[in-house]
Amino acid sequence: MSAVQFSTKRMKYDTANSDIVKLFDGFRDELDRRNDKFERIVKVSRDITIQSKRVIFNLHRKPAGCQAGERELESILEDATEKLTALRVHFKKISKELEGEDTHRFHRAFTNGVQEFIEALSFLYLLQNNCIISPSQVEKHLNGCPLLMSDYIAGLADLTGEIMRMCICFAGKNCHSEAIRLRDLLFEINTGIRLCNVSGRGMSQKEEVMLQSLIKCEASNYKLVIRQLEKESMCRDKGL
Amino acid sequence: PLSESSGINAEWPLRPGAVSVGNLNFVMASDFQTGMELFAHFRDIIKEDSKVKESIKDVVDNLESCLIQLNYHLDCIHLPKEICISNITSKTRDVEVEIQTQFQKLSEAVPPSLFFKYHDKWKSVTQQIISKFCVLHYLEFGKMLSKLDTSNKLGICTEANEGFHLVLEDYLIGILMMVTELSRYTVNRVTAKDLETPEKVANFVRELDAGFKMLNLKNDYLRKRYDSLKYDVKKIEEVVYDVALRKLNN
Repeated sequence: MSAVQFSTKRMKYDTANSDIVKLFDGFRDELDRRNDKFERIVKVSRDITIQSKRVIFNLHRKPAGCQAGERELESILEDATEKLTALRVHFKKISKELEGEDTHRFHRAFTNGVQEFIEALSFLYLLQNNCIISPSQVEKHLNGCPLLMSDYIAGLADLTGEIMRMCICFAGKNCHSEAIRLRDLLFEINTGIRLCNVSGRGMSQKEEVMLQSLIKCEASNYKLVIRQLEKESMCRDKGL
Repeated sequence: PLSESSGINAEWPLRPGAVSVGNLNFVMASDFQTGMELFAHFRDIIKEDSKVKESIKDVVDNLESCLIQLNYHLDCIHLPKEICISNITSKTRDVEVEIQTQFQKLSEAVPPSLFFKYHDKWKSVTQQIISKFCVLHYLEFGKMLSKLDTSNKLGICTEANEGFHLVLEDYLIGILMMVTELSRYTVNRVTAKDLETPEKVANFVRELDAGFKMLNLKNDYLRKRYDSLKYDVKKIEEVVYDVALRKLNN
């Protein structure tokens, strides 16, 4: 007789009436309630992430060039605004789920969505207003969903990737002043975030990526200057 | 929300004379200060946050010392000789009081709305302390230490809405750690020529196993810890089997 068969034969206690089992019933209910809520928030957060990524992608279609098509730019910005405003419903759902709960217990469920949203929103704001959106402005768009400082900073760090792409785009079209302006902005954000020294999941990776983005902008600004010098020297040669 | 936990006001301070376009004024790189105001404010918040983490770390260090003492007093149960539970509990009484003092300090150090922001920092030592209390309680009374009694022993609340409380997952992991220790204990009981205890432990652990089987667990640490429960159960069953087989032969 094996040990397993042996022990099954000896199981004489009545499971259903056991005190321990009754207690675990309650434990299961509590865990289920929390885990289900967590999953519901994760689902909403995923939708926010997907929509925000689409907005970011569309915003890059904004014609980067010194002669931008006014109407085309306007329609892109309007579309982005519409899409981001539509997410108010999602954020409301999250804020409803969090009512009466400890925010930080569920933070991991919605942090990705909020960060991606901040990246999209701050990108749009940058194109519209030429500056960086403040935390209190972001909060207005979150429709009651809590804004944690770490999410705001992470969203800003992610934005630097988009700034870098814009900068390189402008540099490629020889728009010097735009490229320089964006590099300066990225420089400022990089300095500021590093100064903060935020700890947390993946923050050091973000900081590394952000620095690399800045270095790419600096490289492309450098090329602009070199090209400029080349042109000047060629003109001088031709003039001779 | 950001404004509550961090103290950032809704109206952002602007440099005097700066042109307001949106709330954070970025104009030129030389206009460094304005953007820096935002980050300086963040840095202040993070400094405050570090202070809280410091005080939590101090308490956790003290709790770890308490755990070491608990462990030291409990270790004798694994020796091949008579176990006098009242001897052990008389020694652990002082440690229990110290543990309650430390949890009191912890509850004062942690802002109530940020309980789960910092919970990871004390959960490990708490789980281990709970497991020692559970082992002690089982040896004394032959029963599982309830969640309510556990929170009383730690000197903290039982439910989340009461304040600094016992987290269910920590309690469950503490029980699982207890079972691991009981499996070691069972083996050593046989070495001590105590052939009656293994079956009692086996019955107790089977009930706990049945209880845990009722839970729907996610793929988290609790789940991982639960997965090793079956090995502890198996170890105890094998001890019971080994003993019973020899008894039948005798």
